[in-house]
Amino acid sequence: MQMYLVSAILVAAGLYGVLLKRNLFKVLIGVALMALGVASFVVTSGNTGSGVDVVSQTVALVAVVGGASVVTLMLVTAVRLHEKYGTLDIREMRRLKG
Amino acid sequence: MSAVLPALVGVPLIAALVVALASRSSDRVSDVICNAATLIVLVLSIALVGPVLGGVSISWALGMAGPLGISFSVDALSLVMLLVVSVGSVAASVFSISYMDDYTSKARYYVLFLLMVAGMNMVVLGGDILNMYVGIEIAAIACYALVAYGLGKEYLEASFRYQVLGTVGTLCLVAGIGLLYSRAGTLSFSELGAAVAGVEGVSLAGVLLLCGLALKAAYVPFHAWLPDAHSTAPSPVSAMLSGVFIKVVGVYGLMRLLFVVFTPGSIYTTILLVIASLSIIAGALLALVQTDMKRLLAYCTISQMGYILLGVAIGSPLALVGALFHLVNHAVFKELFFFGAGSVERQAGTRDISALGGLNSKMPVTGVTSAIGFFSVSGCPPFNGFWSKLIIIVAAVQAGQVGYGVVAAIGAIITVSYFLKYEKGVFFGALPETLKSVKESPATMYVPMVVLAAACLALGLAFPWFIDTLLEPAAQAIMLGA
Repeated sequence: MQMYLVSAILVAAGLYGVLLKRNLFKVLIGVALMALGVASFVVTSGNTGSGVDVVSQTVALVAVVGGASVVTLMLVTAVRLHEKYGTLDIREMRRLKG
Repeated sequence: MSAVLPALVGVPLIAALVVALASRSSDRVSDVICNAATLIVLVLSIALVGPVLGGVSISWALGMAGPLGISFSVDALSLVMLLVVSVGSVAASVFSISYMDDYTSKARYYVLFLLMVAGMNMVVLGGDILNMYVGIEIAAIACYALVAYGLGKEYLEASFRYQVLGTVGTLCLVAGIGLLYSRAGTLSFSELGAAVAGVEGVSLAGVLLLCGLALKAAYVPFHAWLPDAHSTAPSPVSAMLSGVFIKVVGVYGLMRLLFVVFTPGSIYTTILLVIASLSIIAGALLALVQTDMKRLLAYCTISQMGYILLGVAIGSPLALVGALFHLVNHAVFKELFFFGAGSVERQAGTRDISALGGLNSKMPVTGVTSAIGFFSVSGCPPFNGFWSKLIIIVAAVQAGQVGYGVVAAIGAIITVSYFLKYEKGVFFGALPETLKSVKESPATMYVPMVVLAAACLALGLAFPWFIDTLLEPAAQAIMLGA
């Protein structure tokens, strides 16, 4: 049960970063936290009592790998955006029309 | 025959590697390799049509059993999606030959394009949800990079937003997959139906999967990323994203899981119907106020995806046929429109509708093919869009959902009005002084448009045959939940 709570806190903290933070790197950290939270949720839900089911481990691993590749790509994008604007603040960038 | 399945994923993957290694040689080499690879994928998919429709069960597996290994299988539904992917990617890669000359390092573009095609083929061939998810991730990461391909400010911004929302979507999918497995004990499409019956906790997994797929398919209210990403990407990429990608990663998964996890007639059906109506109306109304050609088309995509979801959510055999038919039709005419918009942008230097006009006299092929697309999207008989919308509306009325049928009809009327604005603003009216010297785009750009326009008419005229041979079996595959 505690592990579900940990996952929920990680996902909530990540969501907070994604939705409310204005700094690109903080948004990015939010995404990374969410990926961790989801991975630990998957591992926890696959706990059979005598260990974690191997398929659940695989799903979690795939999520971690996928999360890592996306975070890398986001880092590259954020660095490029910093080159163009000289800032990481979303508000300073031209707001794309909603 | 089963060796064809890994080839469908392997050929674009190997071609991507070859293009990457050959990237220092001339751009023409990568042109040839990419087009050859997509053409091979098309030929292989067509080779599958006979056996699959003949009822031969084709599958292929590598490594361990179950979701730990790679398992591919193909049925009529996969076949329809496979044909959409391969026709769409051949058209887009031919269009790229001239269009992408304006961008730097074309070879890298082809690498990402081929990775996207490989990922999408993996999604539609995957025999279990985990394989499908890995395909979604491969294709999505290639797409994020493709959206940012121009490296201008707006490209990077659109891509960043797409990356954040797309990742939230894939994380919802992962959480749903993990939970589903822990409850049902299997992830295989063919076994899930029996395994989830009456098991507790599956509905939460269903909600998570639904949120993930809705984010991927950009249904209202999950659509915030789509207009930016689809309008700023290079035009062949926009065409692939709008025409093929969001259907493969969003709608296909929903169709596969619909009768397994979301029981028809439950609360999910109502939620899906509401999301579909919201998408149809909100997408169309937002399209009405756009002045950027590609942005208008992006909002149109949201609206047309609503029609597909409406058909899926109604869930009767007729509605599913309508949804599949509209999926194919939308892929054809939306690629056509994005090619048209790309060709106008390249030749006239702008895609602002208010700055354009009268291009019919200067770009006759683009003008005529775009007009055919207009007839198709706005539902003029005998073009394909008319039949699919009609089938969906009739199915809604038949199923007793008259209100949703009315919503679909209203959406169709708004569609006509914003496309009238689009056609009038770009191809008719007075030719501005600045556009006097505009010329028709090169053959590699207009030939795909002509082919797609011909497909709009052919699908419209031959629709009873097309539905009987291909879409009916695909709808049955959805109903079986396998």
